Amino acid sequence: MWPAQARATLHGVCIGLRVANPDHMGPLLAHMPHGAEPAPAQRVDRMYSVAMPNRDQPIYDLVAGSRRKAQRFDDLERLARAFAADARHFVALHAQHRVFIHAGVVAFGDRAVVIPGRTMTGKTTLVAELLGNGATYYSDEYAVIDESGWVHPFAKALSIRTTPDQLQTLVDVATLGIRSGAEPLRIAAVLSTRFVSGTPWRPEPLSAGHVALCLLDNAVAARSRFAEVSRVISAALDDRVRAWHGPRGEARQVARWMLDQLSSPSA
Amino acid sequence: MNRTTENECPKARSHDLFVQELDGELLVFDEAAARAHCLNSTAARVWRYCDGDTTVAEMTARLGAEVGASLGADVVLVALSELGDRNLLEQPVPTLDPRALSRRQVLTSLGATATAGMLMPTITSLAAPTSAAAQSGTSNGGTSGTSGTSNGGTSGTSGTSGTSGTSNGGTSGFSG
Repeated sequence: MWPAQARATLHGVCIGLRVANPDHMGPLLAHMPHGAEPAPAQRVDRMYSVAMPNRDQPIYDLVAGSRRKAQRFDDLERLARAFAADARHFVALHAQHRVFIHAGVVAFGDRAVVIPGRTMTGKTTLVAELLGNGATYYSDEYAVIDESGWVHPFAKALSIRTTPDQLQTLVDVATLGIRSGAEPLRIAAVLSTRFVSGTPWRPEPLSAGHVALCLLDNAVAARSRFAEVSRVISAALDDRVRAWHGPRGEARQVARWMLDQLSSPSA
Repeated sequence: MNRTTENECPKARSHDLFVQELDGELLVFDEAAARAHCLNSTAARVWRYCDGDTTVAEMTARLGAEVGASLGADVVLVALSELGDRNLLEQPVPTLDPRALSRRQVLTSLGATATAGMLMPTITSLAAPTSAAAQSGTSNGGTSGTSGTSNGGTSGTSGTSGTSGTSNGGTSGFSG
């Protein structure tokens, strides 16, 4: 019935993919969540099915999991992105021994800077600016934290949106000559901010307790795995974590300020 | 404070809670309600006094001695009211009259100093967002109100509301 099928696993979650046209498998597999490994024998936690209702027309149907209603696309790339976003979210929600916080993450040396925030808050722009100032890339979507509080990379392609209604452009950071991190790190700094055009950067310190609430507010599984998420967030924070909050204008100003903070003697 | 209230011995709730101290604040994760609370130093002290044996009068004296200030019982009563509202006591203090607990008045009684703001008990609370809310830009819409002064607050987050009292925190999603 399905001429091509594949399975991949990440953090204990198995994603299945089956396609009506075998030619589609390659492009779609390229959109599997970062770090997913082939797992041909594992039980599938969420299956994605890609059908073409009419072989003569470029119309594609995506059925995710047990949903009955298909999402219809007239472009395979758009379908691939929808698949990728849903698969990432599914992994984020169900990952074993990991907690996913909606956040950008970069590193300076062995210190992780976490920028929690939901979509459309400008965190990818800030991540890109920090990368331009020498940071190492960890993620522009999720801070992946293990049970001991260490942050792991989730280095998917940078998704940059130039206008609010535009489809995000995916940019592989390696093509920009930017390093991606591989080693887990401790959180050194947290920036809770959102872009507000024309706003000068006047950050205020954020207490450790409020940082914890901020991370919880952006944790994908906060409601469904509250106890686990609470403990992981607690493990990730200590008295050395420095944090600030406030609206920001231009990312460049914030990135330079961040560099100054990290290079100051108290950092 | 009436005589009955003074003799109350509130007891802190302990079941279904995960507690962590961070830099002088106390984080209380309520696993039964999927809510988190950040207690400032004063609120944390009062909550810890709530052993079921210590009276409100004794708490007031102990708090004053620990912070090195002469405090009225209203400070403790505000804290107990906040703790009771968030289900962090085994039972709310029954004789507390919310109408008599004006945070503004208590703050005024503490004096117009920066220290006064720090002595005011503050609890910032957050309901765990749904996965869809955390993923998108929508508000979780389920948080509580916080009250009192705060030097915290985060921008760029959503979902908290219902503040009362004053805030030192600038723009805030969490406000205390």
